Amino acid sequence: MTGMDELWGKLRIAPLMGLPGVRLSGTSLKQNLENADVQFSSLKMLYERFHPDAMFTIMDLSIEVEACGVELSRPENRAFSVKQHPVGSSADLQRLRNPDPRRDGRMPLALAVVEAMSEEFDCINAAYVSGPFTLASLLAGAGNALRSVIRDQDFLRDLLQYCTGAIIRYSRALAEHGADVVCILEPTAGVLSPRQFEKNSAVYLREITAAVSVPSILHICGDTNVLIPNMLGTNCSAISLDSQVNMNQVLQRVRGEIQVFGNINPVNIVAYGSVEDIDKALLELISLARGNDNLTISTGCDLPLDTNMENLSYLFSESRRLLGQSQ
Amino acid sequence: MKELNDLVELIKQGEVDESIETVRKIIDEIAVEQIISAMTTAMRELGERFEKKEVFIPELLVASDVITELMPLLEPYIRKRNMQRKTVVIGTVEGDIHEIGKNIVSIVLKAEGYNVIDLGTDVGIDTFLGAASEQGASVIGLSTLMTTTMHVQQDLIRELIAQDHRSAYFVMIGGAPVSRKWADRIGADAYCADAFSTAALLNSLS
Repeated sequence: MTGMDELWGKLRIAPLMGLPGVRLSGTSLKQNLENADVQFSSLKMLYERFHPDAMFTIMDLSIEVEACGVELSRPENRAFSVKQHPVGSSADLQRLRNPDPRRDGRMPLALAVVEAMSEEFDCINAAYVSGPFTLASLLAGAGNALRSVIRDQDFLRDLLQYCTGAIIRYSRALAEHGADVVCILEPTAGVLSPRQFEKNSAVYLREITAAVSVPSILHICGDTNVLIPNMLGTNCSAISLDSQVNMNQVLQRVRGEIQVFGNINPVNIVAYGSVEDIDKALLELISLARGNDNLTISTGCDLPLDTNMENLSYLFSESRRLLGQSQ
Repeated sequence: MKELNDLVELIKQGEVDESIETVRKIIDEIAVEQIISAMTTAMRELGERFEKKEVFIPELLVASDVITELMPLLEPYIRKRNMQRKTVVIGTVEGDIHEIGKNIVSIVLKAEGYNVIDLGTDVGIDTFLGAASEQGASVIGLSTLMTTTMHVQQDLIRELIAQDHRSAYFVMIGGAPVSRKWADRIGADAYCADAFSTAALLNSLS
């Protein structure tokens, strides 16, 4: 296997793709989320077809919350979701498990997937983990977590500390099982103000990045333009940005300091757009990439299940052709 | 009236108890329309600041909580005055349990004086169409936060067409993964980027 430093230096194209593999393998999303072999087979089909510079596990925000002891609804072809948010006060935290990644919920399954990826994929292998505010929102309900930002900071601090501990243990286990990178998904914090984000997410993200031995990518969906300075202050090795973000401004700001993933619209352009749409988006992005080795062409969020596979193939081939020309 | 100005500020600050107290104090002295107007003013002012990224979702949520608590106090007076209000049926589509965006739209529309039937989350097509018909709605609002459920928006429009009822409803869609382009693609009447543009759009149709 190639060394991590060498791979990190060659991070050129790595869409956030996992769900299209479900379609390729002819399985259901539920099968992939409940069976490590099925998920690995789906990811392997994607890897062998596209050979991206980084492979991600299938995006699943329900792993940590389930391992904490929360019951999930498990539909056949939609993301698993929390049936009832069990935490309404600091006292409720006592009733939750402190998840053991080798034992609780589907964490062992995720460890097995990442172990297989690390054995077979010669690229950066990235495992998703929930971000602290996002996990807090799954435990308490997003509305309650967001209200607590204003109304109940003591409760929120207790909750975020619990979440941070669980995320650190899980991230360390993923790293021990072969993950080269953890990709921290923190979408719910994307609706906070910069000050609120700093206090209720960035502080805990710094704790996570300091405690985990492998690099981390921070992914937040949506319009995070105002949060970029705070995201950069989390000590993550990379940030992954959605299509609403002004990449030009971001790249000028980071000036090669960290890797930036983004930000082709996964729905309008890659999943359901035309090749002309892809051409336009790629040309815009690659014009920014000139002189910026730290830009990785990626999607703004996970690609949908029914992504047009010809579009995805075109995204890879055209990116490689254009990047070849631009270097 | 000082209390109405106070009410605007209390709503913006998310002060539930004081807002209720203020409304109780004035509700028998003034027309209910004036209280609704104060709620509208508060939410519009927050909306302008939201647009400028001066306030964020937590501030909108706590202000929305105030409106939610005030509405039951106002309803008897609204019924008594027989106010004409356009009915909007709104919900998060089947398979999706995200509700914050939808709730804020619902509250902002209530503050603007609309009769909002909020069906909640994980709402099936039949429930949407049944409620719209029973409640005499002219607007259906469909929210989704996930790429795996956005197709339900399209399925509902197809069902309306199949039932030959498409022209009876103004169908608006919203949610993180959708866009104006998606709205055009599936034949929705409008894409709503946020609660405030949704209210402005519906007001412009009235």
